Order: sequence, then C-alpha cells, then structure tokens
Amino acid sequence: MDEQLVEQALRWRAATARDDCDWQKFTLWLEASPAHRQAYDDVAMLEEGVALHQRALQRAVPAAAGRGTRVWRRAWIGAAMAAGMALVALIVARPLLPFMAGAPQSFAADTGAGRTLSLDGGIRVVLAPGSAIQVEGDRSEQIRLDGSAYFDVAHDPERELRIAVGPYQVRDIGTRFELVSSGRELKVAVAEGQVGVVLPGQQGSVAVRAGQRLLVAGDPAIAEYGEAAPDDVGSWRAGRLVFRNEPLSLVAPEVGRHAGVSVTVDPAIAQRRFSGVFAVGDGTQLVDQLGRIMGIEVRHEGTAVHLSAAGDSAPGR
Amino acid sequence: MDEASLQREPQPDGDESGLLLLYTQHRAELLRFARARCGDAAEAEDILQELWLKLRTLCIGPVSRGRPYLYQMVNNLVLDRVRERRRRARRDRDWTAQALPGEALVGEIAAPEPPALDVLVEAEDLERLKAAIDALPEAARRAFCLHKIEGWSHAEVAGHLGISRSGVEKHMAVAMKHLRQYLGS
Repeated sequence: MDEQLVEQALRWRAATARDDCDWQKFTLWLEASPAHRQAYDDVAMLEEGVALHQRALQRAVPAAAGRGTRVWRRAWIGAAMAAGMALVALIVARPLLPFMAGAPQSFAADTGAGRTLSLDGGIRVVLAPGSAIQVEGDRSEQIRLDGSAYFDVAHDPERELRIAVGPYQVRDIGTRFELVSSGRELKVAVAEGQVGVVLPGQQGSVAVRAGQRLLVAGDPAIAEYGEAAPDDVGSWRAGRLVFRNEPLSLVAPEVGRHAGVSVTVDPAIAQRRFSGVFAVGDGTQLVDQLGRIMGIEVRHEGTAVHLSAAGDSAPGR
Repeated sequence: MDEASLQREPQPDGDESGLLLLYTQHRAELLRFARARCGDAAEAEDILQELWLKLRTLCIGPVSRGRPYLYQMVNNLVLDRVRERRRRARRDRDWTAQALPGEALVGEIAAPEPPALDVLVEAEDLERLKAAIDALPEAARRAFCLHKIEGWSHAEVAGHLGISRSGVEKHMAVAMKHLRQYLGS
C-alpha cells in the first residue's frame, strides 16, 4: 500500500517536471489525502539529496550491475578533453585526409588555464578554464559549448553561427559576446552587435543587443534582461571576474572553473544573487572569497567544494 | 487568451510574457492548487502573493506555455518552503539533542512534527545515504543506482536489466520506500 503511494508520488514528481503535466489532476490527487502531499515532498527531498551527493555516491557505492561497462554519459567533458588531444593529430592530417574535413572537432581548456582558438570562418574563441567546445562545418557554423567562452565572430552575412549551450541555442552573424553556462543556467552578454537566443519550446529567438545581457536561471527557467558594460564582457581574459546581480547557481560554477575546482551549491541558496568583482590571480582564493562576501559556508573536500547557507551545521561543529 | 498571443512585443510595464494577465485569469485555480499543495490556506495565500511579486518585479522573457509555467512556479515556491522548514526542524533537533546529551527528549522540547524525511545536505548525510542504499533489496538497488546515481534513463535501465519499464518504476518505488523509511526513522 505504502509502496503504491510512493510509486504514485514518483510518477507525479516526473510529471510535474514536464511541460504537459495535467495540473488539475495533480491538484485532485493532492486533495484526496494529506499523505499524498507528504509522500510527494519526501520523494522530492530524497531526490534532491541524492542529486546533491551524486558525484560522491558514484565513487562510493559498490558497483551496480553493468557499472564500468559504460561510460557515464555526463562525463563528456573528459571525453571532449581526450578528443582535444586526438585533434592535434587530426589537424596535421587534414590536408592529407580531405574527407575528414567535415568531422566535428573538439577543443578543451585545462583547469587553471584558458585557451584561445582561431576557428575556420574568422571566429576567435577564448575558452575559459575547464570549458570545452565542439565545432562542425566548413565555416564553423555549428558549435557546442560546455562551460564558458568569449566569442569574437567576423561578420559574415552568408553564415549564421549556431551555438548550442545546455538546452539553449545562440545565433549570431558577427559580434563579440560572452557565454557562461552551467546545466540549464545561461548568461549571454553582448559587447558588440547582436545575438539571438532560442529558448526550449520557443519559436524564433530573443534578441540580445550590445550592452545587454540575458540571464536564464531558476526552475522553471526565467529569462531576465539586464545591462552589460562592454568592458566587463569576457573580462576574465584580463584576470577580472565581474558579476552583477547573478544567481549563485551560475556564479559558483564559473568561479569554480577559474579556481580549478568543481563547486556544488545547496539548492536552498542556489538562486541567491551576487554582485562583485574578483581578481582571479592564481585562483586559489576565489571560492573562499565568494563565501566570505556572501556570508555562506564553504566546505572543501579535495577538488570539490560545497556551498551552503551559514549556520546550517549544528552548533559546536 | 490563447497561447500564441503570449508571444508579442515587450510591454511597457515589464511584463513581456503576459504572465501577469494570465495570473489574474487563473488565480482561483492556482490558489486551489497551492492550498492542496501546502495543506494550509493562509500559506497558500502567501505563496500566491510571492508569485505575484515575482511576476511584477522580474522582467520575464517570452514563455510559450504560460499556464503550466505558473503552476510550476507555485510548485517550486512550495518546495522552497518545505526545504526551509525541514532544515530548520533538523537544526532545532540537532541543537536539542546536543543540549541534552544522553537524555531522552521530552515532548515539550522536541515538539515533534510527524516524522518527515530530512533534507540531506550535510557531509555526514552522504554516509547515511550510502548505508541506506547498501541496505536496499538487491534488484531495487541495482535499478536505483543505474537511474539515480549513474544517470541512466528508465528505458536504458529496463534494457540493461532485461525488464519492462513499469518493472523499473516498481523497483524505483521499492527503493524510495525503503530509503524513506531508513532515513526518516
């Protein structure tokens, strides 16, 4: 009986995350018994807890059947890095192997160092540390970005550059702009020209112009316009990280990239806003500085860092 | 108002997506949902107030399906409160347990609400979770690990274990039920 209730709660958890959820039916289910509400809340909190500790659990829990026979799908940054090494060979071999010219190329920047790339079609990309891109097309029309990068795109009315980043797509003809991404969160800041952003389930694109930035954050995602000083766009290239009223869910992974650590954020504080400027330096101080400024707790575990609200620990700890 | 007309030019009041208008039209059903969702009429009003403020102050871009979007926002506002409440309860309990080492907690001090599953945010929760997962029935544990820890889809887990998708759902329910008991006690 209890199991059936949990099964229903799990189904509703999955349904409420989808676009086509029948909210009226969900309301009726909740109204049928207070136990339904509690089961739904418990399942939600349990799922959040597991998701929060997912990385550590992967290392710790005894292998499930079949584990190791398949690469964990989201570990594709590692795969992209490996592919980046294979790429050196590919570039050298390309004149000899013209049939390979259409194959996608992958580039990654190591932790601790950015990387400047000159792509075909007059596109210059500065990858932030710990970020990766995949490039396809004769004039690099198709790009997939994981992490953050600054783009300087030569004007070419014949080409529409399409950059896939998380669930979003950014379209551009010729401009200078910056993308910062983490999962479903995205920042697009434009220094010059104009780009279009396609949101999932949308027809057409939302325009972001020079001096503007678009933030997509929260669950469900809210797209929010703001201002972007052109000098601040991609200013990390000059060792300066600038944030203006940006959610921690986006700020923390970005700071982590420059610090060379992977940062997780407690969902309770993920939407807190932060404004500030950091001198990147060697990166080692960044996360602790962020913690001090925001008055939140920073817990280091090797190369992983967890951010949570201050005072969450029991007294005396 | 049909969904297509939500996509229009920015409005001067900052409500680019027409969500405020939609909110006004659907307030009654949203309130009913909020009430069912949090189980408290006064809190439901608070939540709608919070939603309205959000819609007013944020400049929200175009949204293709406005009504489900509003429901989802309500659902998330409720979850924020659930998380916060459980966290506070846990803090109080930790504090009480520490203040009275070794003593049985007296009803007045502990003021126990019906046992609700904790938020699992502390480092030591990892140990609790690991122990709870280890204690799962074998078949449920395998399905749970592949889906929740390795990130496989239900279909992939079903294919790998050679069972139906509803079989995977059953395993997940068994796993969640056990974890809930183990961690909630």
